[in-house]
Amino acid sequence: MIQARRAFIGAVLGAALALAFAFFFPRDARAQNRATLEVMVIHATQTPGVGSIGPGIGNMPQLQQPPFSAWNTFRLLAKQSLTLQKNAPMTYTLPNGRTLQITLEDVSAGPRFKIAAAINQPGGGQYLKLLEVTAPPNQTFFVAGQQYQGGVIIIGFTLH
Amino acid sequence: MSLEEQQMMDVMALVDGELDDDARVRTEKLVEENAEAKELFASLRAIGDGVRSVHENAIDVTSAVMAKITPNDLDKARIRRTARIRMGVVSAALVALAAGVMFYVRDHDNATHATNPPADSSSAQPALASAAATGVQVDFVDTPTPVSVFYLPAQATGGEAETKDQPPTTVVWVDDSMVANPP
Repeated sequence: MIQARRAFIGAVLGAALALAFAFFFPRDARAQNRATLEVMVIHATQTPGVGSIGPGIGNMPQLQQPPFSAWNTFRLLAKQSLTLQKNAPMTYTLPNGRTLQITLEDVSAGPRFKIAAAINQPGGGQYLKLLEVTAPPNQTFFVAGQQYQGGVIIIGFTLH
Repeated sequence: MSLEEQQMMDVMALVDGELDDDARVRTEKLVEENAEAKELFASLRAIGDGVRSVHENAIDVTSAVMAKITPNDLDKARIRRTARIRMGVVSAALVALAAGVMFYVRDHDNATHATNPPADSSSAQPALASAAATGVQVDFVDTPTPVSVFYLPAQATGGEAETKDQPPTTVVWVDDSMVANPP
């Protein structure tokens, strides 16, 4: 009887451990409904000479590759950290006056953050959904191409 | 006066309860009135009681033995079997539940990681390529202006081994020069 009881307790504990593993292994993703988004706005222009990468941009070798290599001067216009809550849009005003709207849509295992970006129309019209991206943490990606003061705006996004 | 053989047989039958009504009444009257018949009846009934007593005691002993030995062993075996079955059922249920949760988590993750097709919109443009599984994935692009998606290979900043582990950098290029500088 004692052996049966021990075996029963052992089986229950083993199953409980399996349950705990199944539940808590992906807990980092499932429990998260928020993310931190670092936004870096860079102004890329073409200037005579070798150009430069302004202070504050840091080590960003991507700027020396196409399509960024079409410009040789990069200046940091703004850098901000936003806290995203799931399904709660956050807005960020770009230097060209347009407003970028970022929404954290989902956080899956990994974690991987799915965000949607929308931008309002020139003149402050309604937001147009621009893109949806799924990104791991600490992996910078860029949305670029908007014309601004003889150059283009490069927006770097990094999620944590 | 000594009893006749038939009267003795009747007394014995009375003790055994085997007489019909007439014979029983006649023999009971004989037992009441005749001392020898009365003594015989008492003797036979005492013997009968003794035999019944012995028989009943034998049944009690058997029942006591069965109660003290066999039923306990059977109970133990039954309890063990019940415990094993219960343990097996509970364990199987918990393992099945855990497996179900794990499969659900895996399926959920796979569904999330799968590339979503672009929305059914005339202006929607599909993602041009897919980054490495661990990199940034462009799921959806929708803009009236031309869009290109670039995947820049990682460049060494800390050694060649580092670039092998780094996924490419994703660049979504939204060319709004047509909007900003219309022809």
